[in-house]
Amino acid sequence: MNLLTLEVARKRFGGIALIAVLALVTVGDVRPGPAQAQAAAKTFTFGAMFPLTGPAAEIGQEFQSGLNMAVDDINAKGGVDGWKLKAIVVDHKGTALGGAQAMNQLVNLDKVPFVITTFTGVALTAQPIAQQNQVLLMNVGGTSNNLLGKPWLYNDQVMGEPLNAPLAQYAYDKGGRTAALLTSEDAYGKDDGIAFTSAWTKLGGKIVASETFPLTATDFTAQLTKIRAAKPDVLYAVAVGDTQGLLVKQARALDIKSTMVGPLLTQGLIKLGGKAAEGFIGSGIAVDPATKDPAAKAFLDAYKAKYHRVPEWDAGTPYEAVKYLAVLIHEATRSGADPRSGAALQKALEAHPSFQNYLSGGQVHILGDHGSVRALDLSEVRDGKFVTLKVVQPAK
Amino acid sequence: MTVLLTLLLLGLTVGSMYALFAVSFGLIYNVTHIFHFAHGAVISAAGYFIYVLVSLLGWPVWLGIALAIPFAALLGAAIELWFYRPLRRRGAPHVAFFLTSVGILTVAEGLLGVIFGPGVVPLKFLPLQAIHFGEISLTTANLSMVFAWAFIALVVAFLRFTRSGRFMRAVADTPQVAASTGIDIERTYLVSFLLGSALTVPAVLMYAWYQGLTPAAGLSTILISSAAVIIGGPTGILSGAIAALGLGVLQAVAIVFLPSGWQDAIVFSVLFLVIVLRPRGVFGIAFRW
Repeated sequence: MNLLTLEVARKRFGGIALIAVLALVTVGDVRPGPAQAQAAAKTFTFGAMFPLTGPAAEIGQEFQSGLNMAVDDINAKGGVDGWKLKAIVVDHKGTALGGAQAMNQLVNLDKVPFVITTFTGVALTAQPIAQQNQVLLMNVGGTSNNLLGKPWLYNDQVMGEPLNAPLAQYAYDKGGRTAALLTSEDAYGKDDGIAFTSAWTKLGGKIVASETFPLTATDFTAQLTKIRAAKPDVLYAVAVGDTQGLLVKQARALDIKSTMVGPLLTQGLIKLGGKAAEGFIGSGIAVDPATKDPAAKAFLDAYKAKYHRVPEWDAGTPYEAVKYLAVLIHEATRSGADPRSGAALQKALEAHPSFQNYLSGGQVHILGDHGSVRALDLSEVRDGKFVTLKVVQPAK
Repeated sequence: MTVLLTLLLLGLTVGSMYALFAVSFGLIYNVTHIFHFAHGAVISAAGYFIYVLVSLLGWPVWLGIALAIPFAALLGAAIELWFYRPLRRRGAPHVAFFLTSVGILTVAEGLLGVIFGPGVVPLKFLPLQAIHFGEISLTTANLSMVFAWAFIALVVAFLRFTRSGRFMRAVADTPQVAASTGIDIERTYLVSFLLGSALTVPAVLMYAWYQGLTPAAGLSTILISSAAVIIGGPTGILSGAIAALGLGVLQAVAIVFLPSGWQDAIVFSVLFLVIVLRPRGVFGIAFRW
């Protein structure tokens, strides 16, 4: 498609034809169909659902960068037992509805046995579809406790309670006694808000304001005006990607001086927040650039060489999930099963419930409730970078 | 009390920005009667055009903004000439115009996402800082929104005191009579597209100052501005502007009485009520051209 083609289309058929041509270019899906994909010799096709459009798209790109690195890495080394990996990445737009559409496409059209998912609302919507169709679902983003104990859904992510308790403790130890909540209206914001409130009030802290915003919001002024009036010591903010940075910028512009904290920091906080993001404290999966673990070091170094910065959790967990998938394919094949069966992959997972932690070394362990256990860290934005304040090792 | 007063001022400033968007949309809708949803595409494109010139290429801010005005105007005119005019000549029904318009907006949103990425793009040359009025804190972006009324005043003057403006009012009121007096309807439509599209430049600057730009910026602004124009009524641009101001205030103040998530729902609840109770708009002929 080039400009000449567009011009010819316009001259011959008028502007309406031009729209049609552009629509095909813009939204056209030109990947091969499921039959072609699966028919290709020894190609293992799996699915991934990320937010590729909408306000959370920035984090979607991070997820995708980690996934692509893992696929390229595995395929460059000859694949897994002769299988070359191929990912079909579908946009879930950050919404539960988008998640249902994406999951139905991957399961019914592309017939994949394994899907990587992100976002609490999306994972919760996708899980019944996964269960019905025996597709192994691996959540690498959503943090709600409601994601635990669901058949066919496993989590390479730390859930709301362990994620928020250390954050509340840290803010309380720093002298905070009153907190205000500003959270997205989706399951992520709601459930993490509950987890933080529970931890904060157990410590003796008080919640003085609680406001929400739609996931697509880019203007938080009215909510922040109410919060400013409550004069909280701590502002607990849950937002995704760029939205986190915008929120912080607007809060500081309204002269809110509270210590700002939140779970799962992403590059969007620094990119959009700029100077306003300085001092923001977050909790998330531990990233250790100084790790001696060879596998983790190799990933961290490769990511840094490619993107010129240390990866955050959002690039690391999809990377881990694809690498873990490679292990499951190998184990399923070794046991004589067809790895393109979700049931075979699940059986392999149950037999090998640990996998490499590529962000800080060691292993990630899948628990009986399908959650996972790994080291967390508390970090602060300083001079435009995330600086680790404290590493929280998992309880034995 | 301070909270309520702050929210009121906040609503007035944001409502002023909505008013400018509503005037830019209303100029086209009221004259041509095309529900020009693709105006959202012009809004987004104007914002990204400034971003490219100033933030990426490092051109002076004034030059970027000055060039964005003819860019937006010509983009709006191109939509009229390439899409709507051929449809009109073929006697297409209203729904064809609307669907074409939605199509243009959707494609533009997709293209902008492909070119600039789907995330938020900040206009960093516009400093976002706090401004204090005693206990009340607003931002520099809010202050800029007040200037929307200067642009609206210029538009009103144009409509009242220029030949092209009078033609636009005549065509808006009764196109058949206007045509019988020798007014070139097609040319008048084109002028309304040029003027309405050019007005998106100051409006999108106010918007992006606070929220940054996303490919969906045009959609979110066109939803509010088109709702305001319908609520205000089709008898002039000021009715839409005042309705937009009211929506801004209502959205901001409602947070005191309703959960935050109701802010957008309020706009469309009002729209629904107006369509049911006063389908010709709340202001009737109070703010005629």
